[in-house]
Amino acid sequence: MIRVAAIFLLTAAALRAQSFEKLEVLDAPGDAGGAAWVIWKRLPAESDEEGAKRITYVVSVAKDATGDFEEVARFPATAKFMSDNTEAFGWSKKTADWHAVKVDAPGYEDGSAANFPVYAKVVALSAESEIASGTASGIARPNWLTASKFNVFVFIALLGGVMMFLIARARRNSEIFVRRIPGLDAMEEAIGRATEMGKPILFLNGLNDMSSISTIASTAILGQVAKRVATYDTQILVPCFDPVVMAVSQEVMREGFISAGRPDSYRPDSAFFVTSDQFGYVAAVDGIMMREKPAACFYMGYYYAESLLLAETGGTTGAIQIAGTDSVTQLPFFIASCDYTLLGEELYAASAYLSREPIQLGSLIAQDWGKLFVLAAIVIGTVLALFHVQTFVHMVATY
Amino acid sequence: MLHLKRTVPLAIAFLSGILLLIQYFVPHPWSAKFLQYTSDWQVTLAYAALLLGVGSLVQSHVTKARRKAPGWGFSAVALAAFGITVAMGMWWSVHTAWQSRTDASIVTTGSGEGSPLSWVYNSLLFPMGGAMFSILGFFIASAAFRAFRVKSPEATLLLLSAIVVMLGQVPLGAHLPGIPQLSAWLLSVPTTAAKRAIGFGVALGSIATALRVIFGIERAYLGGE
Amino acid sequence: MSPELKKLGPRWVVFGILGLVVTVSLLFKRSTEFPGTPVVKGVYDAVEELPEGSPILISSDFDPGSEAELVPMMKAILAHCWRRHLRVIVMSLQSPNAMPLAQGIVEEAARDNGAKEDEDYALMNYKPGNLAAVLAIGQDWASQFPESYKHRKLADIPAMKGITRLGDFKYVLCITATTSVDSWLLGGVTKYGIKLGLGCTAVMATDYYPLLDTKQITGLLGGLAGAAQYESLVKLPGKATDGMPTQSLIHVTIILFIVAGNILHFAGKRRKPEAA
Repeated sequence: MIRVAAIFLLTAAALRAQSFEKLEVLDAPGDAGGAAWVIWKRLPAESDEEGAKRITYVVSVAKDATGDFEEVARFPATAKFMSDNTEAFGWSKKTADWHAVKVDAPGYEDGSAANFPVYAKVVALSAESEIASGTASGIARPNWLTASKFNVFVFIALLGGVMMFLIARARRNSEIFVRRIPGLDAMEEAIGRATEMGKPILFLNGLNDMSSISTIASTAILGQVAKRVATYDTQILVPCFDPVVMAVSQEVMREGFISAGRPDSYRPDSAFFVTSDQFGYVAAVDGIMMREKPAACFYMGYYYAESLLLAETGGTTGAIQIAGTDSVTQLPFFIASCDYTLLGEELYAASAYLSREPIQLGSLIAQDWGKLFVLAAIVIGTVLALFHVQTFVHMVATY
Repeated sequence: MLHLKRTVPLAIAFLSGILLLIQYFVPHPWSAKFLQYTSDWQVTLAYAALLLGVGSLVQSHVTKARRKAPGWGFSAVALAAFGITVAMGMWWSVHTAWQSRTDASIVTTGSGEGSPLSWVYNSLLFPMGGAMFSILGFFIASAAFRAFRVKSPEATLLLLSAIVVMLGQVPLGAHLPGIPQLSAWLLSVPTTAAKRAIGFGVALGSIATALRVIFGIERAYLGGE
Repeated sequence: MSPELKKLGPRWVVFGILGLVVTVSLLFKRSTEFPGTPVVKGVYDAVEELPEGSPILISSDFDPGSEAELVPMMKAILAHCWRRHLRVIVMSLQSPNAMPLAQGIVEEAARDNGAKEDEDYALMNYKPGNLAAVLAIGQDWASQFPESYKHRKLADIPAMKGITRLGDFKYVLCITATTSVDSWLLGGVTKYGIKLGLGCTAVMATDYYPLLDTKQITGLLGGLAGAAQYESLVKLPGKATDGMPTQSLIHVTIILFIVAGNILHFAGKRRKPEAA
């Protein structure tokens, strides 16, 4: 009790004897404009945590020095430091000695590309006294670059560069080893089986739209499957969940049939739109399975809760089932009910694996290099962090 | 013609891809405006694509019904359901439009409280969707019964983990000592580790595929290879 | 045995027993409280910490298929929000079917909690385009939602006061049965720095646990169990709490199926060499 009272009195006395040091208004870096940071050095009275708890800061801003100052923030001195905002102020240890409050420039309107002046004042309050800062000013301006995203840019540029280099190399030397993926080898067998049995093949592109990478990968696989289907003269059914995916599937299949030299066998109604309702789609596809009894079912792309409903129904019809998805939560269901399952990125590799095109294989190897880079980053970051060296972790932090 | 089918779409994909990639690093309001325009375009295209889907749906079922292909009765039902639903929506629109002449508080709409569409939704779509999802419970039990086998030490570990997590997800597990903690640990440590490992592969694959699309190396989406 | 049942094999036994267990457990209703875990508390605390009158956005991204798991969750969250006098805005990225469902849930919850339309809550519409839609509302809310679900202008809706873009919401809750949460993460959290909470079906929950460690979401409600925990936190036992005994029983039944499956498998294996 006595200790608390002593701190209380000391804080009040200390605050009276202090003044603000280095109050500044800085443009918020890497933003669309209209925001600024008000920063100032911590008062000596904050050196003790108990002391800091007894101080409250009030920040006010105005659009000119003589204008009406409006209160925009009120908080205890234990909060809001520059070090809390590494995306703006970096990782220097000195930032812990500064308070920082992000303020909107008065009069700023969304989408405006103009510069806005910001005038700021700070008042430190304790139970017995208060001290006010002078007025500081700065300009909130829109920025053209975000420095905090520089590491993302470097990584994409590196991966892109490595990919282009490896593709160019693959063009010269097409002998590239890719490990066996049993699920993809089994596709050929499944199509052959369907031909022998005189039954159709069912191919699903998943439930995502064309902007999803897994859907792009699944349509690439469909192209390869369509080529083989055309060669064997088998029937293929592609019920679609998304109208755009349907249109793309039709084009991909047409190309597949043309490159197999059988454009006449192509039927545009093989790929058709069903519905964009999740369980409506399941009901329709399960119905097709029960009526048509396909010899092979391919589930490629992204799936949700319907994965098991589809695969279990397919299983009861006796079809060979091959799934490929990057939906981690649905993988166990496919593994339990399908004969073969492509896991995660195997789905992306499928098109390169089936087509054996050097361009695609080159980018596949670039992914492996990327993975090696990530692995190295994890190991280096962990080891350095164990020795309290955080520089590397800071370099790869994203915002 | 080939220009229109290949070169133009490839150029559009390249330009859009590069501009949106640059946009990510440029916070300026002009960049934000550009993003808003492209987002609006995407939303508009998503609506337009719905029409494409409806066209395909009607066409494929009409063909089936006309040819009297096996199971054509289902196509007839699908077409009838489609027609009736559209008619209900239109009728309610006309009905509310007529009423709004005298009562300004009534808004012209095809759906909403008391409309036939809301009846279709609540009495048909709602229970049917729920019923389809509930089948999943049965299928999970059946798949677990067939697939979880103590074939190897790894499989045994997997099975034991599954049992702990299943118990940890229900109040019953809260009464068994250590189960909630072990279940939470399994979910937040080994599962997260595996998920991240797959996630890295997926993310790298996504970046590589996106770059391939932007630079015209991946053309599957245009129907090419 | 009918040929259809024969074709199903042991499946029909599994289906039959499970059906029986569910039916019997539902007949003998007995609620069991499920104390909130830190993962669920992450959402509860985020709502609890918001100042009175703060706007909160709920993205109701599910349709009737996932209703059993996600409706109790949404009702408990709505009750909590209104108890804290927050303004709730509801929209959807899922499908046109999601908004009628959301409307029903919100209006029923509003009746139970005495919340007034347009003052304590406002319904927006379904917006296709996922990430594109999130990015668009991040720039300008009115460009995507110029009016409410019931065709009222934004200016006439007190609940929408001061909301011009996504960043104006103090908290965003995505209740989903799809990957719409990815759009909220990429567009909302990464691009516009929103605070995000997640409610999803049980089967999706494991997919999103890593987001807790990276603090991209404040908390996670997974399936009926997550909903029951939230009900227990807000002290409003509802359908999720009622469903917990059934869910416990089903989990135990499935565990027994796995054990039985193994016993039958190994018994069959032992019998085969003898027969040979």
